Amino acid sequence: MKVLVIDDEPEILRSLETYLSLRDYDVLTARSAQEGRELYADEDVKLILLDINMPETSGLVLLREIKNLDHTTEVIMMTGYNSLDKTLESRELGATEYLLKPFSDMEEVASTVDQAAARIERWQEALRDGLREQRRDREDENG
Amino acid sequence: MGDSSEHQFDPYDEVSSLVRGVAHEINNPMTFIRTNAENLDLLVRELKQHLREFPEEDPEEMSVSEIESGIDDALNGIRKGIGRINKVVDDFRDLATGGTEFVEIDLEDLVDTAVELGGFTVENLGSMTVEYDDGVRGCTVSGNKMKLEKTIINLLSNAAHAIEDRFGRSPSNQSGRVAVTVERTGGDGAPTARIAVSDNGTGVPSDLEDKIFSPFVTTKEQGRGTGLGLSQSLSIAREHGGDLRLEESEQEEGATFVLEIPLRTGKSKSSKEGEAET
Repeated sequence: MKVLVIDDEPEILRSLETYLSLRDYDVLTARSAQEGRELYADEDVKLILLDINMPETSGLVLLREIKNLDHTTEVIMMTGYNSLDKTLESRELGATEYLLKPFSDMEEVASTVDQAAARIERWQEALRDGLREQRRDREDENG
Repeated sequence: MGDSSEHQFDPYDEVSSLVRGVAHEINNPMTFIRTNAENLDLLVRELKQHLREFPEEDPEEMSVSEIESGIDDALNGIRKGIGRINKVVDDFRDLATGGTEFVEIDLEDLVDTAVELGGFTVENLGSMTVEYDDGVRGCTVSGNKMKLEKTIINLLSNAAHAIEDRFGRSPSNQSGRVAVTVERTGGDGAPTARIAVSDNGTGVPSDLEDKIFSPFVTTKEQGRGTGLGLSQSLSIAREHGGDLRLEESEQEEGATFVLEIPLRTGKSKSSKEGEAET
């Protein structure tokens, strides 16, 4: 599954790219909200790790845009302790979860991402079932 | 009492914002060092699989198992170092954000925020309930919001670890139960908020029950707890004129920790603005 990681710190991007690739994710990275916005528009991405504090455009602004475009996209926010208040705001905007930086438990990072991926898969499966059913109904109607 | 100290130079504020700034700057490098240490661990595990295919020959050279244990030691050393730096940064941040300033805090807001932030660790392990006694609705406490939040988050995180130690962590196992109950005790003379956090984890080992609030005593495996959480939480509770204690603990059944904070007699939500209590 594709996962898009957006953070202005290149070393965080690199380390998370390796970490998630080792866990069989197809990782895309973006160094700014703008880069992330473009990748999100071009690629079929449903799972995003998004840093809250970024220069120019904050992660919260991008979160709002993404959720307006597709509320089923799973967005996991990354934040430092200083920005916990923003974390609550991100929850209200529809973020799935948050990860506190620096990460204290890497298993938590993995399980948060895995659970979001599982939700997407369930959602897509339900969608496929629905489409299949519609098609069957249509075929029945047409004899 | 109104605050008339607007824009006054306060050396404490200066140091405090400096420390917060440094803590913030350290966050990012700590994040990628931690992630890279994990990456190394995963990659080395892969490498070990390959190494096992080679026969060990030359007795003069290091054996594969010696190399493996050397790498494990090095990685553990890195993890320990990160843990310690994290701890120092946390302590400084506490110092910076702690201050002496107490404000009036809505009790439900306080617990709700802490549960929202700390409950996340529990969510993946089972279910959590939060109950408020009618007597505490709209009540306030006087204190440092961040410190009190951190204390409750710490209790939730301990509960999550105890559950994980008992049942393991897997999406299919959701046996964990955490109950947070908020009640009013102490009668009208000394009204107190009683915040109890109960879990069905491993419980506290009986030989540690008396020592659990001492610094550096931990039941957690190395690298997961500094052992300072409960001792810090207890001092925060006492700073607020309250208390923190282990109320109940049964081996492999669970534990209940209780945080008590004096309630202010005023109500908040409905009368926050209008009331002019001292």
